Amino acid sequence: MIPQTMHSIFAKPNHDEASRQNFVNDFRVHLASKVFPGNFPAYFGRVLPAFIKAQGREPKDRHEVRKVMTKDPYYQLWSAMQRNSQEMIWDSVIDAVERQLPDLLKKAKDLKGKGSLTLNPNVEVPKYHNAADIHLQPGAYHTDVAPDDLSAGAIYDRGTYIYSMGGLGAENDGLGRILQKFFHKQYPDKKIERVLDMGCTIGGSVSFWSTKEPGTEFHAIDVGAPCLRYGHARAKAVGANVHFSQQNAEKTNFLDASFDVVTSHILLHETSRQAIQNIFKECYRLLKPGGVMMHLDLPQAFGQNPLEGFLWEWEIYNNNEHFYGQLRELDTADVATKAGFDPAKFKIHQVASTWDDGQTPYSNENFTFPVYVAVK
Amino acid sequence: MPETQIRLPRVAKGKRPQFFDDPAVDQMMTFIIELSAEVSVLYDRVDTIERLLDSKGTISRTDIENYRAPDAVESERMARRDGYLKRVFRMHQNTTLPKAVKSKAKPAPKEKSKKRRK
Ligand SMILES: C[S@@+](CC[C@H](N)C(=O)[O-])C[C@H]1O[C@@H](n2cnc3c(N)ncnc32)[C@H](O)[C@@H]1O
Repeated sequence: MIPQTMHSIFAKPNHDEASRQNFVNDFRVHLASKVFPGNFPAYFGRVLPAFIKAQGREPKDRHEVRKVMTKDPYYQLWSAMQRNSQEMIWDSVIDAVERQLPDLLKKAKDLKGKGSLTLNPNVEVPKYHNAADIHLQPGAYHTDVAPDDLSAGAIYDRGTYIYSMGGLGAENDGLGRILQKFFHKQYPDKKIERVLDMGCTIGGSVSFWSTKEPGTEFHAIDVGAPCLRYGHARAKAVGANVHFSQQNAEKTNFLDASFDVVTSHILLHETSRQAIQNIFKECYRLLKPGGVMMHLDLPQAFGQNPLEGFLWEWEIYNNNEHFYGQLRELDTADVATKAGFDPAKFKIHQVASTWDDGQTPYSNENFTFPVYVAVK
Repeated sequence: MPETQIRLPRVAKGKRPQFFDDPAVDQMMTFIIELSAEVSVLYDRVDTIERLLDSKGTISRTDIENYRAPDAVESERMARRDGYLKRVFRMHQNTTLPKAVKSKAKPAPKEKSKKRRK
């Protein structure tokens, strides 16, 4: 058992808060290992036979599976448990953050370290983040409750750890580890002087990159101010050197051709169809000739069987991940071409969710993340 | 909580899905799961008290509040919670796939981690 690393800006839980958080974690492990798998016998044992009996054929896609599976009592009960577990993640974490907030704000001010933070209150929260609180974090990434607030970031740091059941490693930075490893395997000789990470939230991923590449200048942008403030403090706490700024990835204020790498870690599925087009276009503008765009995200619908596809989309309907739906079927090659990239230099890589020291974020070793890569 | 305490938002914006025909059943599920969590928290607290009594003979509230389960203790608690969850939710679990469909049935990996973290 590897406990989460509690760096100096971490909202450490007290006795009962820790018990509550651990319960939610164990409840989710129980759901994933003992309850979720029962959806398969429920489907193949009764839902599918009933469908075939009524229609004389199998469901043709995940949408048809959805119509019948959502009426199945096993699926309903699992869903209710899963939804409650998600709500309880945040509630159990917010207790600890709320109790210590004044102290955390003070600690953040006093922390010494590298990097910088540039906020811009004129940056608007995009519509796709205002419609609903994505994955149910109350107040989402952007709600300020106090001057210099960082609570949303503190909540995210612990909440996503419990969400993934520790699957992103003790430092909760597994996505950065995966992509950094992939980059060097793919481009062993590329020199990187300047890197931009889009939609960095608390900078978990980009801070990992930064500690591994001390000679590189790292920039990280997000629209959510409290996450950026926490991210800056967290980066200092873990010894990273990152320049955070509050900017919309669809249109930034960086100069043309000023980055060797522009990247994102699970940003795209939380933005709109139009935003993805704008983001790719912005990446093209920001890259130096020969520079690399890399976006790591969640799996698309292609190649999944109807039941699998339906189950993957549980989060769209029940965890406020509404925008993941459009990415599931998006022709990203077309988006890249329209953004200016040469279609011959665009590729979707399926990247294994493991990293060098043998850690794997997900127990299923076959699990891969799509990474959308284009070279300018 | 003192009056001056900063309050954080507690409810996520967006419609809460209804999974059952009767919304009361959805609400009952929340009651039951929350209650299960509280029993588990209480159990940890009793466990803390017992451990401290074993080692110190007499204890104060502060001793309890300051106690943090070392990894070995947390592993024991985790095993206990595993058994507890299996008991409370015992009628609703199924990990056996029908033979005929095993090959087709690939669970979504995202939900598959069995790793336990504190
Ligand atoms: C799932 S989180 C990303 C996690 C993070 N990259 C990591 O590796 O830990 C998505 C983030 O994207 C940000 N975001 C969404 N749309 C954005 C946009 N147009 N510009 C900048 N940030 C955006 C959100 O505020 C949120 O913090």
